[in-house]
Amino acid sequence: MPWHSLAEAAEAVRTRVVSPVELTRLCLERIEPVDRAIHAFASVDAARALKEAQTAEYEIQGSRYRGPLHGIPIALKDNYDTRGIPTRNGSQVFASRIPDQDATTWERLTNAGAILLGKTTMSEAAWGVDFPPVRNPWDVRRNPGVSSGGSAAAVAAGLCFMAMGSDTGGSIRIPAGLCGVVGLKATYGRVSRAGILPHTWSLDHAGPLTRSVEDAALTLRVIAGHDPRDQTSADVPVADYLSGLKKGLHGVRIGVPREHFWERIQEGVQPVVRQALDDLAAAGAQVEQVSIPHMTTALGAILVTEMASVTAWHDKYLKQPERRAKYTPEVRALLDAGKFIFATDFLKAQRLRRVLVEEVRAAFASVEVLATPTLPLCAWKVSESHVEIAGQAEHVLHACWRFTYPWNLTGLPALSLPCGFAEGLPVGLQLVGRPFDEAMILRVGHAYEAATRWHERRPPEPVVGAR
Amino acid sequence: MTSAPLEPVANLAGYLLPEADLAKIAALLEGVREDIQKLRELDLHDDVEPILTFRVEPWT
Repeated sequence: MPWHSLAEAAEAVRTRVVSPVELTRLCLERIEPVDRAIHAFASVDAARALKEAQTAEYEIQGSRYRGPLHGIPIALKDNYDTRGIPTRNGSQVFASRIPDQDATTWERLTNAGAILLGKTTMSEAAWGVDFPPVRNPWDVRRNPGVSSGGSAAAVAAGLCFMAMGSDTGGSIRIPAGLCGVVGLKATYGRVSRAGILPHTWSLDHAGPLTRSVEDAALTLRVIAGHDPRDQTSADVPVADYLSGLKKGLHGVRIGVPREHFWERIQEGVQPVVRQALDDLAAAGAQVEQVSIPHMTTALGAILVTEMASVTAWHDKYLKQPERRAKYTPEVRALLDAGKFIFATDFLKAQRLRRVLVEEVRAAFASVEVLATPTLPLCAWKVSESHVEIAGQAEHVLHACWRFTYPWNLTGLPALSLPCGFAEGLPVGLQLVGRPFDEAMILRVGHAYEAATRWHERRPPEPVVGAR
Repeated sequence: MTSAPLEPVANLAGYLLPEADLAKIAALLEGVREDIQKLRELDLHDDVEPILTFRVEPWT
C-alpha cells in the first residue's frame, strides 16, 4: 500500500477498502524506520495526523466524501505556513517561527480532506551550498537534490502519497529528476504562493511531487486557481486536468530545443533522454527541433535576479546581529553577496527575460510542448561539491539547475517525470507547456508513463548508516 | 573590523561586514562573474524594456 499512487489510494479510501486511519498509520509506521536513513522529514506530528485521519474517517463513513485527497496522508515542505505548526524554512533563523495562518495551498488541501504527516527537509532558506542531511532513496550516499529534496525523498521512499515543494530555479523538478518521481511547476500565477516563505518574488512557484502524472493532475486540480492573498495570482479559469489525461499523443507536436539543453550533459544521461523522445514519437507524437537562441546566455539573468531578490527579502534579518549569526556561514555569505549585484545588471536581466519570453513564444508557434532533459547529471554523492561533465569539473549547484531555470525566467509550466536510469540512478524528462496549458504537459506525461512504465520502478529499502 | 580602504565597500551592505565576510563575498562574486559578464555583453535591441512586474498571460 505505501507504494500505491495517490489515485489508487484515493480509490481504496473511497470504496472503503482502506480507512484514512489505516493509511495514515501505514505511512507513520514506514516513516519511523525508513526516515532514519533518508531524513526526509524535518518534523512529524503523528498525533495530529491520526486525529485528522479519524475526522476524515467519520466524514467518509457518514457519506461526506470530499474527493480524491480526502483521507490521504501528505507532506509539506518546511516553507509552507501551517497554523500552529513550526515552519522553519530550513533555517535556524526561523527555528521558533509558528505561523498563525495557513498557506493558501495548505488551506485548499485541508478543505479537500488531506492529512498532514509533517514538514519535509529543505536546504537552508531554499538557498546555498550547505546541503541538509536528507538523502536520496535510490542510494543513500547520494544527494536527493535541492531545495525540495525532503519532499522528493519522502515520495520516492513511499513515506507519503504526495508532498508539496517550491521551485525558484528548479527546486521541484531537480529533486524529482534525481529521485525518480514526478514534479510539477505550473504556470507562474497558477498556484498561490501566499503563506509560502518567499525566495525570489518573480521566480517562485509552488507545486506537487508525486509518484505519477495522474497524481500531479489530481493535486493541481485542488490547489490551482486565483487567490487574492497572492498579488501575482492569475485570474485565469482552471481546467479539468483529469478529463484530457488519457487523450494520447496523436496529433501532439513536441519541440526539442537545439540550443543549450544538449550541451555539457553527462554521458549516460543524454541517450536515456534521447530514447524518451523516440518513445514519445513511437507513441504517436510528432517530434521536431525548435530554436531558442538566447537560452545559452540566460544563466547570468537568473543569477542576478535571484541573488538580489533573496537578499532583499532577508535584509531585515541580516541587519539584526542575533538573527544574522543564525545563518550558516555559507548562506550568510551568499545573502551578503546579493548586496553587491548592480542595478544595471538586474535591469539587463529583466530585459533578457522579455527577449526570452518572445523567443520561447516563437518556438511554440509550431508545437504544443517542449521536451528536454530535466538535469545534465544524475544524483551526486553527498561528499561531492564538483562533478565532471563533458571533461570539465563543475560545481553541482551550477550544473543541476541548467535545464530547469529557463522555465522560471519565462514562467511557463514544466513537468519532470522519470524516463529511465543511468548507472542505476534515475533520469528525468522535462516537458514544458504554453502558459496555463498544464493540461497538455500532463496529457503528454501520462501517455509517456503508459508507454514506458518507468514511474513504477521503486528504490531499494534504504540502509541506515550507509556512507 | 574592516580596513580603511575597504570600509566604503563594506558600508554598501548597510550593516557591519567584517573583512573576513568581505573575502567570502568576493570569492562568491568571482564565481558568478563570468556568467554576469556574458549578460553584460549581450547586445539587446535598444527598444527592449525590462519586465519590472513579472506576470504571465495566456497566449492568444
